[in-house]
Amino acid sequence: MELTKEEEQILQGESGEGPRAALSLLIDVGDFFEASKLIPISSAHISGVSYLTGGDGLIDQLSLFVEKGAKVSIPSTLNPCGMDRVNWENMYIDLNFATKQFEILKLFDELDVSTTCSCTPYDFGHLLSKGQHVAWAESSAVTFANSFFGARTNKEDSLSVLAAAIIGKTPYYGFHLSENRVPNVKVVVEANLNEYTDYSILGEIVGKTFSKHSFQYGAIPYFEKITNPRPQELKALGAALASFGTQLYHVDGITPEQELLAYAEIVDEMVITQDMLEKTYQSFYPETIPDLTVIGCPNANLEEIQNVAKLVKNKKIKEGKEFWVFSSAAQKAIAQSSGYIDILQAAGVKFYTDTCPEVMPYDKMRFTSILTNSVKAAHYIAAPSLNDLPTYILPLKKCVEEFFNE
Amino acid sequence: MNKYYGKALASMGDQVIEGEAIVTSTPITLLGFVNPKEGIITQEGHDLNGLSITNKIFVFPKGIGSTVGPYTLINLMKNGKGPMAIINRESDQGTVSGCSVARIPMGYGYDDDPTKFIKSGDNLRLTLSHGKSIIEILS
Repeated sequence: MELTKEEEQILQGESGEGPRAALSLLIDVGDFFEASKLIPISSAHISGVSYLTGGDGLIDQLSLFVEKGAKVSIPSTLNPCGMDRVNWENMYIDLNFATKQFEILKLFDELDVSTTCSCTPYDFGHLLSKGQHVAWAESSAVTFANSFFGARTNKEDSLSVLAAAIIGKTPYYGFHLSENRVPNVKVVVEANLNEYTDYSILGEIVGKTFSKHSFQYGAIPYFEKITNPRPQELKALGAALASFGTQLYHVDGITPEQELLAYAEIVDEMVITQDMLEKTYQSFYPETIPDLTVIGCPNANLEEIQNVAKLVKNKKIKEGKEFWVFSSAAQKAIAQSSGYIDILQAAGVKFYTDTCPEVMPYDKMRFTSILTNSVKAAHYIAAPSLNDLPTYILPLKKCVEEFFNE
Repeated sequence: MNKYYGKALASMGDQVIEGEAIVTSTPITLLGFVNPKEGIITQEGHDLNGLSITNKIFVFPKGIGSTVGPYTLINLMKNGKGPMAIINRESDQGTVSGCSVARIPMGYGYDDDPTKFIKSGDNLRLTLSHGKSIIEILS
């Protein structure tokens, strides 16, 4: 990879040990992908925040950067951490975990990263424009950035994104180049997509079907016959696809890079029928109804919060059941001003911020299985080295029907 | 003896590692399916399920899954349960970053498929020099 004079100087340690270590990592990654150079980026979204997923290694790594005096050089937002910063005790989080989590958040603050933790920073001001080069981590956010905004980011990992945020640059390869953004698989949707979970299930079917191919940058589906999707529905589709390695998809007539569709190099295609959708729903159907429902993977936007509020209004949660909604503190403030939080509280819904259904540790004495409306949540909550809890899927309306009395 | 020539991370400098290989041709999901406290693969249905990678030369095609995966490599090393080295077929960004920061010697980019020409239990020598690597199967 070719380095500028300024980059050579950073590598010699002239800007200090923090930038030197960060640049050294970017060079390893750039060389690996045979990038020709580093390019400037306008923002970063950083993953690797929860003590559950990052462990003590995360604290060590951040401490190293802080001790070396490193700061991020571009606007940078932060992924969910492992608990609600204010209401962590209500989530049955223990003090040791909370102490470690607060330490991690303080370290990010010292690096000048905005600590309004969420996997959907675009819902509170971290917006992107078409063609803009950025470095985002968090697979669902990467897919949204590439597909919804038409911005350009690779799926940065938690270490490379931190290095990119410090240097303000990322290796020029993969999704930063137009030729790698053209569709390679095609999906014709003959099924009716009526709500959020339908899109999540669609992502599961498509992701699984095309995972037999080994595309260098994952499958890039081109969807036909999806009409008038809401932003959160495209978010749900992308999040589910991302669990199978997709970082970009296009929708005929909807997503911003329509000009690339003419260059599609389709190597496989499929038709989605109503029957396929229903069969996949059945494979996630709960054997017995769990005691906890989690909504907000990825973090709920205002419309999703409003939808929950509409469904639970004038109802009351059933004895022994808990219903949790996850989003950012920013969305909570807006939902509060719209009156939705009061409705949720009256019905017995618990609203948690700063975290998400996947990166928090569940109290396993209390909960032995989980219900959700998101494929991505189901995959990760069940992962053996994360929470290892059986997780089932129902659409929001049915979750509410199971958990609330009139 | 056959020698296989590939690449290495430039930041790792020059070093020689010898050890026993553990090999899979199935991708590894670092976050969630590798236990960082015990160094054991915990993925039902995976051909390495239940096996330890600690102090072995860990040969797999690539890492997949969460962008937080690299911290699993850092935590494995911190807990003294990490692999001695990693050899990949195609590799991926997370494994490259994780190895770079956790200082795990890593080789990739061979003409032949290392998950085929290396068998579990083989005794290997991995030589890293100036961004290049050589694999030798000793026995």
